[in-house]
Amino acid sequence: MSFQGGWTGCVLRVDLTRGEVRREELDPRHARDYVGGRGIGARLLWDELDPQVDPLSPENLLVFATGPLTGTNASCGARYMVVTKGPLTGCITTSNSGGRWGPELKFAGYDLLVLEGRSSTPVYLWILDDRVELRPAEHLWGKGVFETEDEIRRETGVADCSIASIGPAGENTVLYAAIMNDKFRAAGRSGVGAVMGSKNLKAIAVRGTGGVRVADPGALMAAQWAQKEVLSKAPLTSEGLPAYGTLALMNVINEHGALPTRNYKEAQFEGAENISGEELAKTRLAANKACFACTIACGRVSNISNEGIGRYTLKTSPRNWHHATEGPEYENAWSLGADCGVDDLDAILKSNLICNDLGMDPISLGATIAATMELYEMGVLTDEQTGMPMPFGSGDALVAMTEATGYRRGFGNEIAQGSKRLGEKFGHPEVFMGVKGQEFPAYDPRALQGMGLGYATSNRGACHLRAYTVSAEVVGEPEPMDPRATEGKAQLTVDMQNISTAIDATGLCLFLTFGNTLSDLTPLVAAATGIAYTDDDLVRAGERIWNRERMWNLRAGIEPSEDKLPKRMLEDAIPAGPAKGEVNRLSEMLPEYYRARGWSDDGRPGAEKLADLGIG
Amino acid sequence: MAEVKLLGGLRSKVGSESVKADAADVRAMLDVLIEKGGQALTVLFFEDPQAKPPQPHRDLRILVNGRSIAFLQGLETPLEKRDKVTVHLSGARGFPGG
Repeated sequence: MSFQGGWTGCVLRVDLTRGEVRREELDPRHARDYVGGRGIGARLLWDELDPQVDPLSPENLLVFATGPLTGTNASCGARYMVVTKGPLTGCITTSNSGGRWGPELKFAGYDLLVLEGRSSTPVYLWILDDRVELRPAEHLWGKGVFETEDEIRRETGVADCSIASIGPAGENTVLYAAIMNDKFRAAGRSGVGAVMGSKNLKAIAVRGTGGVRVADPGALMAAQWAQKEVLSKAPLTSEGLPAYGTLALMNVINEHGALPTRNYKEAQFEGAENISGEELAKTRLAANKACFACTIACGRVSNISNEGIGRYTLKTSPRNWHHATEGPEYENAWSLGADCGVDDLDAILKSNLICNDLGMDPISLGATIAATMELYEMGVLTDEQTGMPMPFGSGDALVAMTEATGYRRGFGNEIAQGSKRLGEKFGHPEVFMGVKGQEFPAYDPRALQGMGLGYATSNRGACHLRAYTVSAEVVGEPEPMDPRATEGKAQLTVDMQNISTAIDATGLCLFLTFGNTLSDLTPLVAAATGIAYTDDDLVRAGERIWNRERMWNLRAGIEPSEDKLPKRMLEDAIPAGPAKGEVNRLSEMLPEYYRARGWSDDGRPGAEKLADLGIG
Repeated sequence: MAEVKLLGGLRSKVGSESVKADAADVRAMLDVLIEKGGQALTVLFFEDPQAKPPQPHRDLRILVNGRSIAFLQGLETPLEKRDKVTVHLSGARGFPGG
């Protein structure tokens, strides 16, 4: 089997310890069976990485993986996936980003970039097609993402290169440090930025001058026109997301009584309107923005309001970006807002901007600040310990602790460890709201039963992007399902996990599923690669990848007993609002989920299932 | 009167963020919104506005006290004076989130 298109067939491997660069051939069977991105990355970790490895040791691998549609003209073909062992969770982690970095890596001629070892001094990697070199980065160490990108552009003399970098949070191994690219796009979750920091790698700048060869250009053109026509006719992808971004969800989820508030103590936020997509559009939105080849453009470019200037100013901030910042997305506005009881949109924008510049995942940061606020209000933490009052609702505390965490200053050093370790250290592990060490995103699993199952079974810890049952439970697509019922949620979760995993592997963005079905996307993959994939083939690839990730986690010691939710979700009923009295009924769904997966009763893929999927 | 909260693009189409509606059920509540925002709303609210009775448009989402009318009595869901109603347009297609 040889590569006809979609894949370049080339893996770039950089040994940071030795300063050596190698080019290797991508195994065509792995490409066919695992498609790309998340899939090939998971396969590579299975083959090469000891699951017991310390995530922040030189032995950990850091993989940047594109898919066969990354860099093509398929709408939303901008994604790359960072695959590594995550320091926040100890699980295999797969963290996805858009922008322009992934396409540039493909244009330079590489499907994957594999980083191993640890440089003795800070360096950055410069890739210009065949030219690959490690350059000193001592002068960049300590700088934020924005300044780092500007400086590297000056040094390379290539203004339109794309740069993935870490900020001080990654350098300081904040356990949920992100890798940022194009200043505002993030491979955000699970601490991939800390892994990069542990390798003394400040940035990867890349510019490719080639294109992406595809097997059947005519078929790809036809398929992408058809795909884009569907997106242009779906009201959400043609109007809703461009107008309000994902932040449109704030009011919707709140009205359902499913908006986690004050560290999940409540499920409706009285200040939701103030931090909603409607409010942002009315008062602060400068423009919307798209990633490479995207025809949706859900990204936000926002200003801090006139009222906020002077308090949380962008104009005088050394980190301002044309007096505006990108975001916030729904998840960020929730974690920095409702979860902390903060309804000050300017404080949220400022905190989000700092997260981008220092390189942190706002979900885990906001959730850990929320846990800190709960401990403070319990009287467990004092002003002396935190350095300032930390009540729920304090925008000042939110902004101050965001910066302190990125630099690991003061109590920020504790927040940098994530809320699981924070709760355990101060004797109250019950304040951790998450799964497998990773904090929940923005949907209360007591109000939306399916999300609880999705969180509990996610291979990278709590995540909304692995099985977005919100689509059926709230949005009502592809068909409405009662959010308070458990019936049917196990199969729904399995189906969504498999399909979303397959889409992650292609190099496309999951957001196109707000318009497209898998059947719109399969012809794109087939045309690009020359392999006659069917919908079933891709779903099966998703299942194969999911099981591979699961097996890797089992080898890492992440037992099925970790498929669980915090006691608060299982026993403490929602106190008020539309979902008053609800708890998550995970025990009703989990056995059915294992059966739907074809796993043993105790959640392990058996030999028969693995053989069926071709996993040896 | 039931308090009706409008979300997203529906606010500009109706010309208000919220409306008080003296309506016996959800269908009558929609009539109040149409009266306020104009007949153009009928194509957003109903699949076929001329049908008797018109059926809800596939994008129309209505909550009564936070509960979707899909799990209540649809457009015939009765409204009480203290009910809180939320109306928005979804517009999603495909298989959202995979």
